[in-house]
Order: sequence, then structure tokens, then C-alpha cells
Amino acid sequence: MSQEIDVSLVHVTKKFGELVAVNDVSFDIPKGSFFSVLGPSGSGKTTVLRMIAGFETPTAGDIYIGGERVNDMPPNKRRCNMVFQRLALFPMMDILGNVTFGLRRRGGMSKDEMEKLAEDALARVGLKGLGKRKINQISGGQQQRVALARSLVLDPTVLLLDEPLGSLDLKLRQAMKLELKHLQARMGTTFVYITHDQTIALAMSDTIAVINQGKIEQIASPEELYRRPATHFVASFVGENNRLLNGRVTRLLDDNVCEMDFGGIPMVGRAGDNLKPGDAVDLFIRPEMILLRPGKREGGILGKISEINFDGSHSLIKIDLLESSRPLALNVKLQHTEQAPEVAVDDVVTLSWRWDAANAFHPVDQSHIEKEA
Amino acid sequence: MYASSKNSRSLSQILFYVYVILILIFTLGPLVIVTILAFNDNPSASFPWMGFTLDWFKSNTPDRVGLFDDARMMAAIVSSLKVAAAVTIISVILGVNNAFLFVREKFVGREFLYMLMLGPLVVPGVVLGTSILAFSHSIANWMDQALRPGAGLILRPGFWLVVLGQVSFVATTTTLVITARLKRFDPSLEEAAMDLGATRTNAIMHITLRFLTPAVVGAAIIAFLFSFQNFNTTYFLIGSDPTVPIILYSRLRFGISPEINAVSVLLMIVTGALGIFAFAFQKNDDIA
Amino acid sequence: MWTRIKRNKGMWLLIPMLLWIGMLFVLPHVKLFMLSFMDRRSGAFTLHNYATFFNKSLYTKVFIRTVIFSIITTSLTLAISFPTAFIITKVLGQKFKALVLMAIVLPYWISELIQAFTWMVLFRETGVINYFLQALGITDHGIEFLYHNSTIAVGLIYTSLLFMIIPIMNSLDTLDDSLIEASYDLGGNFWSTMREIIIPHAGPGIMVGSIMVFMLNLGNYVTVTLLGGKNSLWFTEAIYNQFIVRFNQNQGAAFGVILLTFSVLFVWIVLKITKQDLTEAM
Repeated sequence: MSQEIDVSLVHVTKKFGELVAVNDVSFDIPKGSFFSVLGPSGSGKTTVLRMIAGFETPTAGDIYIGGERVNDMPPNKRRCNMVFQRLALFPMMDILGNVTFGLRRRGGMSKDEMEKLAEDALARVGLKGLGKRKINQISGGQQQRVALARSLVLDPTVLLLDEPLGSLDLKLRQAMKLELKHLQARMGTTFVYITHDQTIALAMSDTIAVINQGKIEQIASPEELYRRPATHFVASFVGENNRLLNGRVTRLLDDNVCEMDFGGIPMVGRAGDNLKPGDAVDLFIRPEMILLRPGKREGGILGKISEINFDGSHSLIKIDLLESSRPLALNVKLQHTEQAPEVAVDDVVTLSWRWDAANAFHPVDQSHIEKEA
Repeated sequence: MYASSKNSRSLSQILFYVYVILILIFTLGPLVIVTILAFNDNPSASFPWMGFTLDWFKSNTPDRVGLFDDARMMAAIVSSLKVAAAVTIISVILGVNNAFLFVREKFVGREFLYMLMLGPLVVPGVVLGTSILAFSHSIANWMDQALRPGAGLILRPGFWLVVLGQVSFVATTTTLVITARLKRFDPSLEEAAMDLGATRTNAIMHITLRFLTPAVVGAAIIAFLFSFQNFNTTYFLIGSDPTVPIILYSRLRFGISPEINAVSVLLMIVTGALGIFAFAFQKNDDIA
Repeated sequence: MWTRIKRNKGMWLLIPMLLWIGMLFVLPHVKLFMLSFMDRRSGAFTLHNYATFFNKSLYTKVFIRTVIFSIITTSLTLAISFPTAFIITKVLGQKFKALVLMAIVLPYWISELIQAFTWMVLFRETGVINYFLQALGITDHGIEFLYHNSTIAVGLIYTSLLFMIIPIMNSLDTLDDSLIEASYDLGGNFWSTMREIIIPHAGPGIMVGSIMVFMLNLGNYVTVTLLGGKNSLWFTEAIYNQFIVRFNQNQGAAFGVILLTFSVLFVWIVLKITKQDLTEAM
């Protein structure tokens, strides 16, 4: 591999008593990349982050930062810094005091030099000249920026972010999301971002690791993750998806294309999980990947519109399948382009999709998986 | 988690625990020793261990009098209990009254009155005791003259003066405890009760006071213990019936007897039980 | 109209409140204040009672000793209590925490008299410590540990420990653990985190605890006289003696007023110097 690796986890496991929080996790984070760890709450993602930061020690496996094994290195010696979920700004100091805190610990620098560096860092996050303000005198967005500046001023090899945008309101979150991405691109620092919010992960990351129940489900680029989920969990957790449950594989058309039967209707999709003919199967289809044609057409599945939800640039249309032996429905996201057909409730339509827009997996026990909003 | 490396982490953990154990030895050690001595058949109230005995609790011989056979000590316990009961009742009623006053009512000088109310807790017990003694003395004299001779007797050193003197500072504590809880009460619950047909009195009785119950019980236990163990204020106001701390003080000035070990054990058991009761009560409340 | 009636009704609550605070606190102190300016026999206005305090060097000496002694024991109590409060709030698990707290609260509730008694049992010439010293052959005769300044100090620390630990615990409880982690993450070590994060955050609690303990020490009588005996030389003793032994209410009142005025002034000045706001911490 030509790329330099900044952070590397090798078969890392963390147990808290009986509970296995992180189970044999391995990944490499290339230098200068924006890496996200995405998972529902309780998936172990925070434990992964805290192990990289040094607040937890792995039960087994090794962690490398900049090629150096850091398992036994305390957090105050590691060249990685963290932006905490609730920011953890020091209320007993002003902004400048917060930003110079790490520099003061490091020492070997005059007060003026430290303040100069801190002012630079504040300017970089757009807080020029606010150094004398108190922490409780600034807005939530500004506090985010102080937390960033406080870590960035130390020029860390890796910046760890523990879902710091979670507490912001939607609008501010969108703005900070872009700003964070730009900042990362500009500085070239490796960012490791922990989140349960897939829209943030998809928008910002170069690479996303999806983690569930302490295990890595898939590591891929956002697009790959979205288009070609590797597991049932990823397909249901990332992005919106139609979920058709409990079909049966009728035959394999190819190594990774299979034909299935759902309530008597034949469907095609990418075969994940080494599906074999006769296997039970769940099928995931993105609502925006389904082609909708008015009326009864050749080469498609017949359905009747039961509901239309208008949402500005598109409509979400719910369609009951007409020819199935059990009640099945699909949602279709219809973009309001010029070519978009005009439809109304009770219209009969024909649905179709390319085989690679649908992903098929073995059904899993759903009871413990809950998709978070 | 707060130390520097794996080795020194366990080292600092060990230091922390050693420190806690030293503190526990400091706080509990003397009590443990006193408890052991209370059952030691050694009249010098010290070691060596000379065998187990209950004499210091129950015995009545010329050279040994157990706690339960010591008429003066038993009388002191009874008079302490009486005082504590009266102080508790009055202070809790005052506490509820004041809590409603400070939380519900807006009036001029409210902040000032609140600060003033903290006073009895801050003023040294000696000063509080002497000032109440001096004041009650002059009031009693006035009553003797203005009403009839002997009318002021109730304000002379004795049971009621002790009760009043203790209420002066115990009521501050009960007020603080009950106010803290009433502040957390959502008044809309009371309004909801009235909306559902309850009268105002009904709503307060069934909703608000019920919500206050844990604080009232907690305040009562604190009031009781405060009263039972008070010396500084009580010392000036006491008449011919000493309370337990007073009699203990007068005896300790002349030396130590094993019987006092027994008294300590008795007090430990009673306060320990009260403490556990209070703790359990507060815990139950978390569910409500 | 209705709110008016309601408001007036609420004002009935003022009567018990004012009766209590007026009759049992304000007026007695007014009386004490007045007494301190009265001649013992004639009842005429005089400054004699205060003059006694300032002219008789014994009283001023005892007073200064009491204040300095109280400051020292308060500092010692703080030194012992801070680590304890820190460990209870930030190191121990929930179960253990409750247990340790109970162990610290218990001796206090059993009464100051018993506390002093337990130290007498340990320290006196034929006491438990002497027994073990002799049993171990360290000494062959009883040593009197009672009636020393250090004995008084141990007793005072023991009886006021709780009042220092609880306020500091309360302030440390509100310290978000992630602040401590953030400090480590940014390169801080144990001592710099203590100095820059933990102690500043606990400031108000330290202040409240110190004030409470200082006042308790200043006003102490039982522990000091039982453990110090004739050597205690505590200012409260002078007040007791004037009232109880000499029946000189006016002189006692003047001493009381001096003690009260001093303690209020002292606390006020300390708060000003350290720029702490007490209301913030209460």
C-alpha cells in the first residue's frame, strides 16, 4: 500500500466484565483522510474512539498511531486530540485559556508565542479576536469552534471527534458539517469522526466504517456503502431503503445476481451473503432507484398507488403490489424533473429496477436492530 | 483512568484506596474501640481485654451500675427524647410553613428574610444560647410583674426554654430541607387537581404535601438528631432535668467510666438505625 | 380580586415565620447587644464591658489564640478532606461511595460528646493507646496525651470533617468527568489537571466548607474543654464562665457580641479577598 497509515487497529477487542463492547476490530486510517465510525448507540463506536484517545486500554489487540504501538501510552502523551461530545470546554478559563491549555502543558514556549499560536488557531476557525470571552458568553456554534481550535492548536497527528455536532440544531449542524469538512481539507489533519447520524457520515467522510454490536460490518467509501452495502445491517442502517422480507431465492443468474420470489412475483437483485437457490431472503431497494411508469407496461411489476407524499423536489409514493399473493408495498421516490410522469392515487403503475439497485441478504434476527433516526 | 501509565495507574489506585482506608480508620476506629470496650469486663474502661460482659448495660451492684440501671442516665434519656420530640414537631411544622412562604409567596423583603433565616445556623451555639437566655429572662421578669407572680416560669430555664432554644436553629435546617423539595414541585399538578374538582385545601393535602413527605421525614430525622445531640445552646437553658449531652459532659469532666462506652453503643445503634431508615426512605422516593 | 384574596391568605404564613425568627433570633440578639453596653449593677450605658476585653491581656490573648488555632485546624481539615471528597466523587464506585459516606457521617450523628469521649478513651494516661504502647514495650509508663494542643486539633478535625467533605463533594459532583479527560487529552497530567481544572471548579465548595468549619471551631466548647482541659484557653469558655460561673450577663454579652462581630467580619473579608460568591455555592 502506497498510502501512509496514521491510525491502525489490529484485532482490537475490549471487554467490560462480561460485555464485549468491541469485538476483534481491525482497520487502517490513511494519513490526511476523513474517517468516520458509524453505528447505532451501544455499538461500541465510542469505545473505539476512547481506545484511540487512550482513555480505555484494549483487552486484546494493538493500536498504532503514526506507526507506533500506543497500547500503554497514556492519553496525555498521545499525539491525538479529541473533541468531546459535550465539548468539555473549561468554564474556569476564558477562550484563550482553553486554547493555550495544551500548549502550556507542553511548555518550552513563551507566553506570547503560545498566545500567537492560539490566536492563529482561533482565526482558522473564524473566532478571531474573541479570546477574552468567557465560555458561557458564546453561542453553541462558537463553542464547537473553540473545542476544535483547542485541539488543532496542538497540531495533532489525528483529531478525534466524538459526535460533537449532535447537540446543535439542524441548521447549525448543516453549516458546521461543511465547515468541518473544509477545515479538514485545508489542514490535512486526519480526522476520526464518531457518529450515529449517517447523513453526517455520508456527507463528510472519505471512508466510513460501519460498526454494529462491537463488530465492523463494512469499511468503504460513502458511495460504495450506499450503493453496495455488504451486509443486511448496513443495508438497513445506511440510507432509506425498501425492505421486502422473507422471499425465496429461485436461482442464481450469475455469481452475484439472483432471482427471487416474493409472494409469487419474481424479482432480481445483487446476491449478498453467498445466497443459494432455496434460501430465505430479504431484499433492499432504494426508493429513488425504482423506475415508475404509468399504466400497465411490459417487463415490470404491476402496482397501485395508495399514497402520495409531496416533499418539494420530490414525492414519496407508496405503491401496493397488485399481483402478489401476500400484501407487499414499495416506496418510490419520484424526482420532480420535466420528464417525471404525472400520477395520482389509485393509478395503476409499472415498477422496475436494474438488478444492481437491489441488494439481497439472508434474513437476520431483527429484534436487536433498531434503525435510529 | 487519571494516572499516567498502566503501572502507575494501578499504583495511584492503590494510593487512593490506602487513603480511603486511613480515613475510615480515623472516622470509625475510635467507635470500634469504644464498642469493644463497652463489652469488656474491665472497670478501667480500657484494655486489656478481661472477658465479655453486659454489666455496663445492665447491672446494679455497689461498684458497678449499668446504663439501664442508672436512674439519672435513664431520666436524661427520657428528657432528651421529650425535648427532641417537641423540637421535631415544632420545627417540621415551621419548616413546611416557611417553605410555602418562600417558594409560593412574593413579598417585599423576601430575600432579606431568607438571609436572616440562615442566621441561627451560622451564629455560634454559645452566642445563640446566651442571647436566648438573656432575652427570655427579661420577658419572664416582665410577665411576673405584669401578669401575676410565677407567670414567667414557663420561660425560665427548663423544658420549654430548651425546646424553644433548639427550635431557633433546628427550624432553619428543616426549612432548608423542605424548601429544596418544594422548589422542585410543579405547581401545575396542584392546578390539575383543582381542575379535576379538588378544593385548594384538598389539592395541597393530597398532592403537594404528599410530594413533600420524603423531605418532611428527612427533616424530622435531622431535627430529632440535631436536638438529641445539642449541647452548646442547651447548656444555658437547661433547668433541673439534664439531657443526655449535658449529663455526659458533667460526668466526662471528672473522668471516664465504662458505662459511657455502653451509652455510646446505644446511641450508635439508634442513630445508625435512623440513618438507615432515612437512607432507605429517600431511595424509595426515587421511584415515585 | 381573587389573586388579592389569595395573596392575603398566603401572608398568614408570615406570622409563624416572623414569630420564630423575631422572638428566637433577632430580639434575643438585640437584647444581647443592649446588655453588652449596660453596667452590671445600675443598668446604665457603659463601654466598660468592652474595655475589659481590650485591657485585660488574658482575654485578648485567648481570643487571638482561638482565632489562630481555628484557622490552623480549618486548614488541616481542608487538607484531609479534599482528597477524601475527590476520591469519593471521582474514584470510588457507587456502592462503595455510599458506604464511605455513611462511615464519615455516622460519628457526627452520634454526638460531639461521644466523639470527644472516644478520643479521651484513646488518649488518656491509662487509655487504649498507652496500653498498646506499653504492651509493645515502646514505653514503660503511661504518657498523658490529653490536654495538648495537638489533641484539641485532632478532636476539632474529627468533629468538623463532615462539614468540609460534603460541600467539596457537592461541588466536585457537578464537575463533568469529560473536563478531566479533556485536560489529559490536551497533555495535562495529574497535578496540572488538579491545579487548573479540579481545584478551581471546587472553589466555591472549598469556601463554604472552610467557612463552616472555621465557625464551628471558633464556637466549639465541648471538644475543646474535654480534650484540652485547663489548657484549652478557648474564647467560648470565657463566655460560659461569665454567664454560668460569675453570673455576669453583661460581660458575657460583650464577649458574645465580640465573637459574633468578629466571625461575621472575618467571613466577609475572606469572601471579598477570594472573590467568591457564597450564593453561587449554596
